[in-house]
Amino acid sequence: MVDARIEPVGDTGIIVVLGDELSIETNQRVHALDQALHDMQIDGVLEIVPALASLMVAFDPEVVDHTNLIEQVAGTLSAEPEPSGGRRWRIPAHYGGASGPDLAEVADRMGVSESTAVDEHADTNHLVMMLGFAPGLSYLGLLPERWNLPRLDTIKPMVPAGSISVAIRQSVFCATPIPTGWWTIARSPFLTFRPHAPVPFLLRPGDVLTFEPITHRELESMTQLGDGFVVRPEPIE
Amino acid sequence: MNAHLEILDAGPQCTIQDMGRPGFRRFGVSEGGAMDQVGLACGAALLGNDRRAAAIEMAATGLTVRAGADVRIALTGSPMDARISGRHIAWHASHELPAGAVLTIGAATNGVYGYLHVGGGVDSEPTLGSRSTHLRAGIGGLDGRALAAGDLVPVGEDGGGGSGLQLVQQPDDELPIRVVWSPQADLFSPETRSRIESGTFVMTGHRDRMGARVDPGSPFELAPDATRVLSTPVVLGDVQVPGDGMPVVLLADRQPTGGYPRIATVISADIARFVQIRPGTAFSMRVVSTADAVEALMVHRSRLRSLADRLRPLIRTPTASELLSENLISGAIKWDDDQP
Repeated sequence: MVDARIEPVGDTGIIVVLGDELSIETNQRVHALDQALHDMQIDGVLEIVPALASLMVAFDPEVVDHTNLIEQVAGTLSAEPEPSGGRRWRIPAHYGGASGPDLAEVADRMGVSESTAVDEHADTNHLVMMLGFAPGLSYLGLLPERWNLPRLDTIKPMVPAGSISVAIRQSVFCATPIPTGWWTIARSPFLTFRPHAPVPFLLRPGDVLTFEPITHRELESMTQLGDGFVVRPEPIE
Repeated sequence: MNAHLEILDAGPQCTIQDMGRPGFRRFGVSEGGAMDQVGLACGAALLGNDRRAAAIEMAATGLTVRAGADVRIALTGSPMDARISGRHIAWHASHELPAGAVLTIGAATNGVYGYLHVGGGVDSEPTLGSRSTHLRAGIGGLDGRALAAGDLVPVGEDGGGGSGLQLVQQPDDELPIRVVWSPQADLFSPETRSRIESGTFVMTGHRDRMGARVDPGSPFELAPDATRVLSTPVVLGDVQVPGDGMPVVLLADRQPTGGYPRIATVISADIARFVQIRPGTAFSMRVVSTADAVEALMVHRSRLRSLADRLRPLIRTPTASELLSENLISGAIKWDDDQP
């Protein structure tokens, strides 16, 4: 039996807290529970919102009541987690320069060269732990321990869509322009939110990303393609 | 070309809104939609529109529009001064707006969010299944932004129906805003929690579609472990306490996840009443059980479903004796739960 807290949140939701600390293992349990609850197709469930170490179920209390729903979710927790069905993406990104104005200081703080920092970031298997904050914005983790950088003291008013910023061993990969208090080290031409496309959100929690460093010239030519620039994922073995 | 409303002038926060776009929180988009869903539903009832029809939401300040064709309109939510070609018209009512006529809507006289509805609904292009403008996400409405002079707001095909109807409203009362405890309430001291139960709050002007800051008199004492809370999903009405100790109630366009601790959540049945509290107005909160909150939601929904039964012919210039003979109070809509 998995250790978890299940409680009402507001009057039309319940939250399942699987842990109070962030870890890849806990996050993967969130994705497994997400998948299991989707598969159950519980009447009255409107929306399932997975987060870093918790998951919220929004429901219509006119169709299913709190007690009944909590019992059904608790029953799911005892099952062995299934593979989450995540996919692997290799995503081009231009590190440093105007795309990553904070790369030099990030490398300096870690006591490594910029190229070492770039290689380590690009080669990490980044798990999409959560989408949040802004449309299609993904929280990726976890980087090696030396990437446990503090957030910036000030919020940068806006970084462009596709920017990749780091702090506290995580990366955020934004799909729209956002203000951020994290260190921006790269930008990708691949925009994962396409409001009018048949599939508007390309990344899903549970997906795994690596980045492939590209030049500024490549970034510009790929960016010019707009939605025509496509990266295709592979299933995770 | 279909009918349209031409925007001649608009307050800073006039946006196209409908019931919102549920289902995308897992991708980082909160559901949005009209701040006052009761106001939205009243307009659909007055015009016989589909309840999913979109309308124009006006925050505190209205707009001036010219009709591109004969249209039916309705005005709901927070009352605002409204005139057609200079002649005053009633709020909470439906009217004819002839082609070429100019409708001018001024400042809110009570409440905050007013709604301008058109027969057939606003027919802008839906994004992710909704016409609601989500300013933060930059989607919905017209190009994901607030309305501005020069915009042409498309009007859908009007299925027809009358005008000159009203929904008689009861003046706002001062009942407490009901809340349930948040799962994170235990992060706060008993003293802080007691301030939710017995304190007085004043609505501030620091408010928008994302959230409303409320002034509890002095900052809330922060939860000792506040900075260690992992981001969790945020729900509509969550009372979040950020670093400065000043609570913010999170509303339609909030971020879908958040890392600041939440102490309580405004119940679903009271959200529409909460968003209409004007800056500077004092109010209190009352903590209820989850079961009571669900019961209140069922009462709230049944009132929304019976709106059409409560339409009355519009009395354009009633005298005092006419008002008395109409017995307005028994026909009024009462949004607040029954009090003992």
